[in-house]
Amino acid sequence: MERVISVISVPARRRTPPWFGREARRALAAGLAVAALALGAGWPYWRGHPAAAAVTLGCCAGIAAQGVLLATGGRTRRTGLLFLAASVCWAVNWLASWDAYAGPILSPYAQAGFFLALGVGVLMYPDGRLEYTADRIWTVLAVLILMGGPTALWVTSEPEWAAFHGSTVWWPAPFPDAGAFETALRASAALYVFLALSFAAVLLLRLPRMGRFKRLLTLPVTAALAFVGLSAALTQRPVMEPSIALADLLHVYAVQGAVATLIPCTLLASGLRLRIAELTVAGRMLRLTAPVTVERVRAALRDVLRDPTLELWFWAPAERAYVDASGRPADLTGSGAARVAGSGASRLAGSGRAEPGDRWRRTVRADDGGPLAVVEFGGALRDHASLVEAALAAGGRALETARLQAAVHANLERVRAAYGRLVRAEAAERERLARDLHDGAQQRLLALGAMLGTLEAVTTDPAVKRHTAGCRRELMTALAELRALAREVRPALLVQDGLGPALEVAAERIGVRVVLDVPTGRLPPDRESALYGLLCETLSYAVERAGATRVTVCVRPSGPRLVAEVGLDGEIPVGPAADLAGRVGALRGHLEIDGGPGTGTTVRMVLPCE
Amino acid sequence: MRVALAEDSGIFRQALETLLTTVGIEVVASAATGDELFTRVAVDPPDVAIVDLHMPPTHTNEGVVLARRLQVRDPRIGVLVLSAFNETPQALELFRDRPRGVGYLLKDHVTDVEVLRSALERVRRGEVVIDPDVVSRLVEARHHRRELARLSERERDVLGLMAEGHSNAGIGRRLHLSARTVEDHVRAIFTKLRITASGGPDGPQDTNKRVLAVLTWLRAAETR
Repeated sequence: MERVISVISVPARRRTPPWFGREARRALAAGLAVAALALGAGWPYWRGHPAAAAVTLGCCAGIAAQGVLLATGGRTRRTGLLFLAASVCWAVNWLASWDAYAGPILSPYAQAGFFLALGVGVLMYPDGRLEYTADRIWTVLAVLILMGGPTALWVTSEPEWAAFHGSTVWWPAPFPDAGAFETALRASAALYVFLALSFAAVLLLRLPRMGRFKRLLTLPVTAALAFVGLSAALTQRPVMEPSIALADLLHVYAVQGAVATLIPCTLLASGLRLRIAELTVAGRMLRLTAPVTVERVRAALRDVLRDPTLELWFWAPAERAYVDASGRPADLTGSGAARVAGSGASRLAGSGRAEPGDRWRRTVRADDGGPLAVVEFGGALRDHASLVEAALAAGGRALETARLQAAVHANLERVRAAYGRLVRAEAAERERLARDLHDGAQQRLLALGAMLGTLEAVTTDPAVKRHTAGCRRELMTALAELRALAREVRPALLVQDGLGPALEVAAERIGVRVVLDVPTGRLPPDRESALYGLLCETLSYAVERAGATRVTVCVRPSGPRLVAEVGLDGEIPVGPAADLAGRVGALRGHLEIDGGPGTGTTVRMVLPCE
Repeated sequence: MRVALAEDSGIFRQALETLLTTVGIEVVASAATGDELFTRVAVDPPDVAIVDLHMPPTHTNEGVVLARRLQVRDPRIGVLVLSAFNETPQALELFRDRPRGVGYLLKDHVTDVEVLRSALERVRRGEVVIDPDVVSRLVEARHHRRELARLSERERDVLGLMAEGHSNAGIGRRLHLSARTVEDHVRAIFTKLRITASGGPDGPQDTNKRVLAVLTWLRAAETR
């Protein structure tokens, strides 16, 4: 007997919680390593100051961990590496506390390197490059000032002047001179303050040029860094006094380090904010898109992604084309063609400049892999690919539903467009026919009449005269019939004089009192023709079906629309009313009928004035 | 009599010219547009200009415009406007203000030599002529509105002839009535319809004024 063994694979159980992944472990390791370095570097000082040690080690570990986390992201990689370097610099800075060997001479360089790496790192956040000219100029100045200051220090001084033991410290001091030393200190102090202020200015300059989302993320980091930079420049003052005690010097370092802890904290907060935005995007999308309509989906995406310029097109399978919210086919092969063809993913990773006018598109695919929609974003969202992905994933179902709606709209639009072409073709054909009747046949028959008149005048034979007169009468009857026919085809008055005069005559013919209020100016020919047909039909319904004895007709333009109102003292039956509504609807307009028994009826037609 | 002719349809212009010449009316100029005729009769104006209502460029009211221009330049000239259509509200603009020596005739009736000749002669005398069909259409429209119910059938006939521009004597001849009876009818019509214009002595100027009053009443239809 055979046994069938079915193996059901069990998903592997995760050993670690999801937030403690590879990146997190790496960040923790880096933080611990840098903290250990700082502990070793500042050991002589930490023994007496455990609180300062805790703060500084925490600061070093925090900045290092943050740097490693940032370094895993594509664009923020450089910022991350710079932060890691900054944390190492800060740890090395504490070598000064040994008061021996090369530690004291390295320490000012390390301190300068710390601020330089932090500053440039923030300027590169979140794009990974120095985007603006001001950023690059500041970076060059910072390198010059921050590296020149410590150099001037050891060149012009003995180690004792700078709080160190001359005997144990490696300190070349090639040109020791108390006057020059003091001047160097003053100049450096002033330049540090200048550097901090200019940094704050550079940060402020950047803000207005960013997209809404980027600004939201950058603002707290910017504020924190400006604060840290300024306070560092100000607390640096005692260090710049000649003959400072080593303990005081290290105390300043501890304070600066504690303040600098703000930066990893705010970066962490920004990162969390981004993550929270991604996590809440699904819920917000679902809330904002119920019930689903094409417009709602677009409004929800705009709201969630904070991009009011976001546009959306749906794939209409029947048309084999993308259509907009109202179902009209859109031409997406313009400037954005290459981007659509390249699809979103490759574009997201690309490093195109995020300029204000720069836009990019992302093709959303349905479950079966077929095209579903194309979304166009402002350039600012390029940096938040994961947020965009989260929003599109959360909106997937809504997009599918909305696509069905858009496809229905597109079908309706196609039918309307076809009807519109039919109406236009018919109008053109009628006009041609009417013109032929007027200018051709009628003139020819009239000429024939005049010729018969001539014959009648010249002949002296009474029989010929009588017969000719008979011919002429017949001819006049034929002419009257021809005109009636031409009027059915297209009233000459409508073409020549417009809607008002044509309706005037039509009103005379139906035999009840009609008060007309029609603008004297001309309307587009197809609108005149459409309105004339609709109003004549309404008038005939009013007289024949509703038995009206008084009718008013009012036509007026209302913005991009034409409004025609027919008031009558009767009630139009349901059948003709539905018939009228259908005709108005086919012309992309709508019809309202107000009133009831005994109160009279108002038929209101609103047509787009194309 | 000397006439000039403006008509854009070549075939009808030709036939009309032949007809006029045959019955002894001299055609001094014939043109396809209003502007052309206006220049050609500048030096030696005819007694009457026969002009088509619809001519290039717009085919709307060129005839009326040309009539105005001709009479402004030379008030003695008579103008007879022709139209193939009865339903042309602009043609009645011809009779605004103080009409003198103007006429409006349907092309169908032009083929009747006697109608044409009498219209030309009346216009030349400074009278106002309106095609009977046009008048009956206007009267008909009023009639639909039950506003002519107060008039007797005879009075309606008199009203129509008044609107066509006929004098009391002319109306009398047509209806086989004495001038005095016609005068009574006219007074009755004016009272019943509340038209404010006196019958007055029988002369072309007053007949024209009366035509205007009747036309105004007939045309006031749409807004009342």
